Order: sequence, then C-alpha cells, then structure tokens
Amino acid sequence: ENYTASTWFAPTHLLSHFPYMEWQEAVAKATDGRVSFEVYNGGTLLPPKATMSGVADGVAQVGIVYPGYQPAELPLNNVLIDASFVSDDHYAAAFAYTDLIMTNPDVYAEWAANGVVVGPGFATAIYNFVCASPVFDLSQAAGKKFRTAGAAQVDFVEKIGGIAVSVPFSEVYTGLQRGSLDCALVDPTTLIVGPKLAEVASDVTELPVGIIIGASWVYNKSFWRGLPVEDRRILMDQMILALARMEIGYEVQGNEGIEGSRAQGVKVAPPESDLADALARFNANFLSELPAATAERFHIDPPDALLEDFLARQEAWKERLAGVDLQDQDAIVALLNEHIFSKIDVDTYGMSD
Amino acid sequence: MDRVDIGFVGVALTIVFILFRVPVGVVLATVGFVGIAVLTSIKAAWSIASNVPFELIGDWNLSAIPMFLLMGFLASEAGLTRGLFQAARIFLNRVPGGLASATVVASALFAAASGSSVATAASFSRIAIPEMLDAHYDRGLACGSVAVAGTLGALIPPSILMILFGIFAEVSIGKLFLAGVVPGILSALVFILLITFRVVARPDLAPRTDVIVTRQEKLAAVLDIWPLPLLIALVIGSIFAGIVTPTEAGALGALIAALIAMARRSLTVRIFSKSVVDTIAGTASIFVVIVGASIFARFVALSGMAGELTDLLAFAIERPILLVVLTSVIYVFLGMFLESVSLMLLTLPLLLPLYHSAGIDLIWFGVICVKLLEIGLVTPPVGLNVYVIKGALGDRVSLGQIFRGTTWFLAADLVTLALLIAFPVISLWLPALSK
Amino acid sequence: MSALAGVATCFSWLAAVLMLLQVSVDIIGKFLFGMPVPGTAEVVASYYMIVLVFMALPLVEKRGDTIAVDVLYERFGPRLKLASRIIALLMTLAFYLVFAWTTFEAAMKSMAVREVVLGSREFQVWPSRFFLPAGCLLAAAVVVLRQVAALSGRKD
Ligand code: NA
Ligand code: NA
Repeated sequence: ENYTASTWFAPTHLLSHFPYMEWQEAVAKATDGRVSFEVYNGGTLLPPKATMSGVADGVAQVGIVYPGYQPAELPLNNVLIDASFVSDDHYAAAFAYTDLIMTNPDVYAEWAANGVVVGPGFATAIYNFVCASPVFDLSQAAGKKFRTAGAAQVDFVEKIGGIAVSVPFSEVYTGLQRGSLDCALVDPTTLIVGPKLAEVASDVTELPVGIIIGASWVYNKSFWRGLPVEDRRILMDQMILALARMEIGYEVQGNEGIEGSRAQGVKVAPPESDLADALARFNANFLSELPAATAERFHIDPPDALLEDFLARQEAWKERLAGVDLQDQDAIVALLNEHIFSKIDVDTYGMSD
Repeated sequence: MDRVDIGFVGVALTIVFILFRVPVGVVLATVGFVGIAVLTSIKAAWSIASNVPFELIGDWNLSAIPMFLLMGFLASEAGLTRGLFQAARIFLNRVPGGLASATVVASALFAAASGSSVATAASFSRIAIPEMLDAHYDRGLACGSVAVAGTLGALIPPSILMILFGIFAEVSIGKLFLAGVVPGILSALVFILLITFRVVARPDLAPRTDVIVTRQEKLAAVLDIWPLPLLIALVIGSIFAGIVTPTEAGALGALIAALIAMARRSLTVRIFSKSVVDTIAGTASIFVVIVGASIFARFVALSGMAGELTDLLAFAIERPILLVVLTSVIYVFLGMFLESVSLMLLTLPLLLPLYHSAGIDLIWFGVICVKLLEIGLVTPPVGLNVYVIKGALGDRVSLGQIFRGTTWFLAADLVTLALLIAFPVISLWLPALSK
Repeated sequence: MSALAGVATCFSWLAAVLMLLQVSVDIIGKFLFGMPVPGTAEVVASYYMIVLVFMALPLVEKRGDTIAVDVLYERFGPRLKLASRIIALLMTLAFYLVFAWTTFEAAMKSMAVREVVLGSREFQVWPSRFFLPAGCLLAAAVVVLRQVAALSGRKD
C-alpha cells in the first residue's frame, strides 16, 4: 500500500536523501511493495512546526521532527537538544540521542503522549564559525556580527564579545557577501552544497559550537500498530541502515565541505588558545547550570540524571567508534545493533504506551 | 475516481468558483480543504487548517510585504512620487508612453533592492499607477506595465526565488544572481520596446503631454524629484552596503519615506494613519490568497497531479530543448493557479531528476524557472502581482482591466523567454565571466 | 459593523506601526551601536505579522477589498449574479468559520502547553494564536452584517 512521508528538506539534502528518499526505495523493495511511501519534501505537505501534529492526525504516516519546535510538548527531548551544544562528535550525538528516545521510558513517553511512535534520531555535522573575515581569537571576535540559532549559541557569542544576530538561514549567504553578517554558526556541509557558503566565506574556525539533533522517523501511532510484525521488522532494519548511512553521509560531506573550501582558497584552521579556552570555560559553566536552567524553562524536575546519562552515552560511543573506520557502514551498523537495537524488541516496540 | 482525477476535478471547480466571483483565497482554501479531506481524512484536512496559517504568516521574510507597501503608500500619499513623473513627463516628453517606460526603468532599479516581485509591484502600484491615470493613460497599460515591471523583482538580484532555487537544486546562488542580471535587463528593454511600439500604433493609449516647459520648470522638476531617487538609493544602497537585509530594507524604506515627507512638511497625522490603514488592508487581502494557496498547494501535492504531469515529460529527456519547452508550457499552465513559491516547491523535486539525467545546465534552468514563475505572477486567475495592484488601488481599477493590460506584456515576455531558451549565453555569459 | 471593524483595525494598525518602529530601531541599534533589539525577528513574525494580517480581515470585508475575479461576473444576468453572490457568501462564511474553529482549537492547545518559539531567546507565542480565530470571527460577523445591511437597504 502507498503511504505518505513528510520532510521539509530538499530531496537531495542529507536529511531527506538518506532517511527518506533512499530509505523508502529500500523499504518498498524489501516488503515487495506492501509498504511504500510517497515522500513530500520541502515542507510541501507539512511545514516543520506542524509535522508532529500532522503525523499524529494522519496527514502523513511518517515525518522528520525537530523537537526544538515543540519545547512544551517534548521538554526532556529539549533538554537533550540544549545539552548537544557541547557535543563534539556527530556520530556520538546521533547514536546517544537515538538510544535515549527509543529506550529511556521518560524520553520515549513524551513522543507517545503526542500520538506518535518515535524511531531513530539524527545529528548534523558539528557547527563551526564560517566567516567573511578571520575570527580565530577573542580580539578578532569582538564586535563581529554572528548569525546564531538557539540560546546557547547566543550566550556564547555574547560571551566572546560578538553580536548575536537572528536572520533566516536563507539570508546567511547574502549577509556574509554584503557584510551584514561577519560569521554564521553552521555545519560544514553548507560550505559546498546547499547555500555553498564557501563562495562568500574567507575563513572557517574549527570550533565545535553546537549541532542539530532530532528524530528522523516519527510515525502515526495507528499506522505503526496496524503493520504486520514482519513489515515493522523491515522498517526497523532499514532505519538502522539509513541511520548509519546518514551519519556517514554527514562525515563525508562535512569533510568535503572543509576540503572543498580549502581548495577554493578559504582558510580553515582551529581557533587560537584564548578562543578555545573561552569555549571550554563556557561549556563547563553551561553544563553545570543546565539542569537548573532547563528545570525552570520547561517546568520539570532538574534533569541531572538524564543529562549525565546523555553525556556518558556520547563518551561511550566515542570510545567504540575510535576503533573503527568512520566510513565503514557494516562496522557502524554492527555497533548500532550491538549497543542499541539488540535491546529493542520490534515485536512490541511502539505497540503500547 | 483515482486521486489524480480528484485533483483535476478540484482544479476545474476552482476555476468555476473563481469565475463566479468567489474571493480567490476563499476558493483555494475551500477546495483545498475539501480536497485534502476527500484524499486523506477530515482529521488530516483539519490538522492542516489548524497549523498552516499561523506557521505561514508568522514568517519574518513575509514581513517585507507590509513594509514595502507602507513605503509606497507613504511616498505616494505624501506626494513624493509626483515629482518623478513630472520629470519623466519632461525628460521623456518625446518618448511615446514615456511614463510607462519610466515605470519599467524605475522598477528595474527598485528590483535591484528588492528580493520580491510582489514587493516591487506593491511599491510601484501606489507610486506609478495614480500618476499614469492622472495623465489619462489607458488603465490596462498603466496597471499592466506596473504588474509586469514588478516581475523584474525576482529576476534582477537579489531574489528570494533564486535563493530557494539554489538551495533546492544545489547550485551556486551567487552564479544564479549573476545569471539573472542580463535576462532582467533584457526583459526590461523588451517591455520598453513594447510600450513604445504600442503607443506609436495607438497614441490614445498614452496621450502626449506636449507642453512647452521652461527652463525654470525643468529645474523645479529636478529639484522636486530628489526625494524618490534618494529613497531608492538609500534602500538599494543600504542593501548593497550590507547594512540591511531586503526584509529590513522594507521598514527602513518606510521610515525614510516618512522622514522625507516630514522634512517636506507634507506628512500629517491623517496621511500617516491613512497610509497604515491602506497598508494593513492591502496586506490582509494578499495574505488571504497566500493562505488559500498554501492549503490548495497541499491538495495538489496529495493528488499526485504534479507527478502525473512530470511523468508525461519523461520521453523528452533525449531532447533537452523539448524538455525545457515542455516544462515552460507546464509552468505557464500551473502558474495560472499556483503562487510562485508553492509552484516551485511542488515541481522542482519532480523536475530536477529529469534535468539531471538530461544533463541540462541548472544555472540556465534556474533563470528560466524564475522567469516562468514571474510570468505566473501576472496570469489569471491567480496572479499575485495583479492582486497586489488591485489591493493597493481598490475600486479604481477592476481585476479584469489589469489582467487585460498584462496580455500584451505576456506576449513580450514569451518572446524574452524564447530568447532565453534559444540563447543560453544570455544567462550564462556573466557567470562565466566571473570565473 | 463599523465598530467591530474599527476595534480590530486598531490592533492591526498598531501592529504595523510597532513593526515599523521596532525593525527600524533594531537596524539602527545593530549598526550604529552594535546593539540589536533582542527578539525582533520573533516578535515581528509571531506577533506583529499575525495581528496585522488577521485583525485587518474585518476591515478588508468592510471595504469589500477581498481579491476576486469579476471578468465573467460583469457579463452575468441577474439570476446568475444572485447565484454567484449566494455561493460567494456561503463559501466566505464557511472559510472564516472553519478557520476560526480550527485556529481556536490550535490556540487552546497552544495555551495549554504555553507554546514558545525557538529564537535567540525563548519566546512565548501562544497569546498571539488567539488573534487568528478572533480576526476570522469578526470578519465573518462583518460579512453577515454587511449582507443584512444590503438586504434591508433593498427593502427600504
Ligand atoms: Na530583485
Ligand atoms: Na498566475
């Protein structure tokens, strides 16, 4: 049967290509066409903020969801999103988040309460400074205008003496070109694909200033529960494969962004020690204040245990990944199966709240 | 009835209701809502109607529309625009239809400051049309020239449509911008040629103002026109100098217009208040259509009609020119009903794979695509630029008059389009030069 | 009718003027003093635009400014004209009332969870959601009152 899937990305964007375009073909093939999805990209069916409720209401059977748009409905997920500002490895962030949304009962329950069954997550490449003039130390950062998204980025930029500017992502290119922005905090894939910021940037500072994490597949509850178990197993297997391929895609395209920028004459370098130290101090302070801050913002009990769990899982993933080729799909799938999906019983997953 | 049939029934009903003078936004929303309910479920249609309007209108980019409208209203209410046309009357005295041609030149300049065609048309609908009507220009010519000159807004950089295209097609936005310059100027020249030839053939369209002007009057005219070029220069200048984004430029332009009017002592509280009231009424009437179009676009998407139309094109992959021509036909057709961003977002995902396999230069296609979307802005029944003019002028002109006025210009645009298709070098020359 | 439209128009008018002022102050602050007005993009998008557009709907209906195609209508006979007007009236009312209903539900849900938007700072948006049903409902009222006025005018 033909079902409907929704993303707000271009079909060639990593977050549509791997978890939707390529995935739906594999699913249709593996199920002999019993389950096939028509993918609506670019928000043509559901805009970003309406995706979760749209999926719950059956506008689409599955969609990609960024929990940051629903802080009130998904407070614990938003705690994790906030905490990901200190992440410095996109594989670790993606896999630790996937583990928590699918196996931590409290985090999982937030999704169930909104009428959906959550699948694995995603993480973009780690954000860096992409600038139209050199910003490698504190003196260079002072007074510069940075395009930021999210409270942690704003606070950090202000901490180093910059001006946080909130402009739509579509205006970053012309902003850097014309000088209404000096820097943008973006993931390095955008240097050579999508907006191709390398055309207007002169310097890239390799400083980890955040990442976007979210849920790649959020299913309509009655759709998921109506599928026979063999089809749910196929969906799960294909999601695991797509998760690995998506993160490898970010690794490859992130590297290509950096190398491609260098080839175009952009200077790519780590920050000077004063800027790196400023981030380290900011992160330490940020993490110590985060439980109280998020407890107040999201009206929840201080989530100390969850935060520690998230950080510990990321560290564990970094150790596991240290031993493998980061672009070896089979090795990564094997690790995912061993450390996350062996704990999940597909026969019962998502079948009751 | 399969879902594509339901889609076509929906389109047919839309046309019928629109012709029965049901407000366009209401038709699009109603047909879209019922269509989605039929294709999926009432719950799904309800979900879209609950969430889409808020998310759509709560968009920072769209705030350029009221601000550019306000800039135009203030400039025109405070009498800032009359001087320009006084000067045009004097300096283009001998050029047939000089005011209309001056509008095209001014719109082309303004387009270099505005990312949006609708905003360009919005500004000039209040600046240029009243002046042309006062000069007894033909209503169709006056409104048509502003409607089509407004379409230069997205072709001449900066351009929101080109940024969207660049992101979706994964091609360089910088190159797209460069590629739009020459086609934009070419379009403007073709419009001016058309105006001149038409008025030569039918002088009653634009009565000559063969007044003998003294040198004193000329000087007075020049002294009187400084505010509008200053306003445009400040708006363009601040964007190119990187002081503001095009969106912010709207507010800045409105502010500067108000300040200039104040300095000239032509801004009263009543005039300011009336400008704001006209702005909000104009904005709201446009947004009813945008909201309707956004729901209708989701119905069209779910019907799979766009996919059906693209499937029909698969055979043309072997012949790139045929593919481009067929795409053009489809865009012109769909452009009658869909607003440009929805149309682009609906079709690109289906067209781009075809263009990739045909090996067509996507920068070239980007320019043609934007030109086609621009044509859709002035074709009935859904032509946003025409609605902008209608929204700004109210009862002074009917929609029919504006659409009739754009017919000649549409023919001219098809000639420009044919040139762009036949000679890719027009688009690709400048980007190639920059390498 | 005038009073209903008038009150709503005041809100919309104020939103437009505040948008103009705040964006201007933001630009000037950002570039002359390195101090943007925090949250300008969020307030403009989530409040000023919403209030400006939806609270102007009663005014649009009062002025008869809705965008419609009158090319064929002008050539209709009296019966078709009457049919057109009835269809337009019913569809317009359905449009406003359904939107008022759906957006009211969305607003109640938004209030229940104290909806915020993601921006440079956390920003409460749920109150703004109530302007959608309010504007739609007032516009529907103006449409009805206008029709009543037209009918009673004809009887006199
Ligand atoms: Na432009
Ligand atoms: Na059209």
